[in-house]
Amino acid sequence: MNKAEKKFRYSAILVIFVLLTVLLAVINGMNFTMAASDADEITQMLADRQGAFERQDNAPKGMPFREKESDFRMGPMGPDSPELDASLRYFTIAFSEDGNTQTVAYHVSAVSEDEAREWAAGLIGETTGWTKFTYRYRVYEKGGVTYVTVIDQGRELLPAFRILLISAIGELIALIVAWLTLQFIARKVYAPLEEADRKQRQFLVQANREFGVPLTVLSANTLLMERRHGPDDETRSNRRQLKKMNELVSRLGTLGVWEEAPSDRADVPISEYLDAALDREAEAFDSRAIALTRDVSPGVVLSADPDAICRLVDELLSNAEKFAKTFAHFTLREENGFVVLETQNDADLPDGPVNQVFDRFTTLHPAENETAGAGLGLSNVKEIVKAHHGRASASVTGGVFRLRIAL
Amino acid sequence: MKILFAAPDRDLLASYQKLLETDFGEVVTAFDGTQVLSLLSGETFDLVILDRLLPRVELKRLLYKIREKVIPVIELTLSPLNVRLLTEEPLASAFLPYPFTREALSDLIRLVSERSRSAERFTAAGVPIDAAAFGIENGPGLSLGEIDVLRVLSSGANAIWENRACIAALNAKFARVGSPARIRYQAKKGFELVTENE
Repeated sequence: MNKAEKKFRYSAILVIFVLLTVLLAVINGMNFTMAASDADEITQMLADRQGAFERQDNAPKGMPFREKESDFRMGPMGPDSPELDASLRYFTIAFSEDGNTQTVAYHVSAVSEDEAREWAAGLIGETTGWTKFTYRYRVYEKGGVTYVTVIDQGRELLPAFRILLISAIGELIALIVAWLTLQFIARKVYAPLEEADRKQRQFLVQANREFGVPLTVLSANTLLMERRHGPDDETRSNRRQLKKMNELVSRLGTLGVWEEAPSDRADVPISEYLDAALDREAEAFDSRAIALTRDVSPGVVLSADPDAICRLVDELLSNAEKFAKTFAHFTLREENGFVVLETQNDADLPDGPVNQVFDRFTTLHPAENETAGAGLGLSNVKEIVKAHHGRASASVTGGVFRLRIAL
Repeated sequence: MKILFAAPDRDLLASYQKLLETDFGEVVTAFDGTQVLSLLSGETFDLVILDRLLPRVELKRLLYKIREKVIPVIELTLSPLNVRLLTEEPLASAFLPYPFTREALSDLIRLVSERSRSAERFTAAGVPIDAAAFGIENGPGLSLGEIDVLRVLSSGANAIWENRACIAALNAKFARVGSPARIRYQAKKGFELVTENE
């Protein structure tokens, strides 16, 4: 699985997870809020009636809620239900100022009357809320007497808890299904991209093979023509063009080398190598009047493929030498467990992120620029960084091109 | 000097035959492996230039045959010099990647032939090196670059970073012959030739 495919899968599953969680959280949140609101409405009804419904066993049944037979189908629900009086489990205890306690109503089975009194006494000073998880209470005063009404909402809350449980299980199942579907979709979506990338690499390696021999022959033939007829403008032009082509093809040859994960890892003293490479190239920078400066932390060692790291440093130096106008600065340091290599120069580029410099055959400089390369150097850098599970980024700020590599 | 130049491209052979004959003397060409085997059995050569993709006979078989006759061989490759190339087929005396110039090939021919004529032998951390035969005595072959690294390190100097592929290949070959010799990087000191228990 390549990095882009992995990123797509994880991003997609994260989006699905967040969306589902938010949706289900809103639904369940509203469900519980409405249950609390219903309970509050009931406790308020009890408060309005001094803490108890008047239960009249001989009262006429069915009126005024049921006027005709069809009302059974869609009668009032919740606190407006005509069955509320008969089905509500609750108790109300009154506490008078003189210290007397009186049971106003007691219609519960789960607690004894004494326990109810003790429970209610513990709620004095509160207003309303949940107690013992599924009981809703209200504390109110009427004529100097404090009433505590507690209603059992266990049966009413059970569907809400069931919905919560079903939501959680449903979300888990949805995520598993989404993950499996994404495996299939990602494979379908990325297979052609991977194939295109593989073919492009194959073409590049093949191009190196196919052009290597003809270029060698053309170089030899140019030399033979010069030997026979003497050098002229045409043969000299041929030589120049052949030199360019040779450089390009040699670079193509290096592309295939970093395809696989580095196999020859060793402790690479990257500080020493960077210093040595900067010393080696100082003259070339001088000749182009480019100030080459450095800030290299000594003793930085990196576990990596030495070949690859040396190539990486060489490519960065070559890039700076080609495109810097007046200065090039190299920094090497250890930062949060990473080896960070930065290069800055005043290449003539517009401000903004320029990560396309890492694409193969992409150069941000005008094609007519003599120094512009084939657009393979930084692509090589990216391949090496990728093979070492590192990160590379490039940007231009205030006319300064900055390239950062963390390994 | 008599050179056998074997490559599948006949234009390359024709051009380089003319160029190398001017510089080195007789150049015999072959465009497939069977021709090489036939020429080797009937003639003697001072040096062989061999393309890795020569058809009809396996490269390894050709290299063994050339090595049997103690002829140095320059292998023409399509990829730049790397550790894999140096360790997988340690039978070539030197490697030259395409595309190359006449100057590069001529320089390499001179270096390889000089080394093969030198009859130089030396010991590197207890490992006997036959520089003229391009190899560890009774062990795997070594390329010109690897021998140069060992000579530099044996004389006490530090090999330079540009030879890193050779250094990695040499360590692999030391391990292959069971030698405790290793090339190790020491901070501030550079590369050193040491034995493993040092």
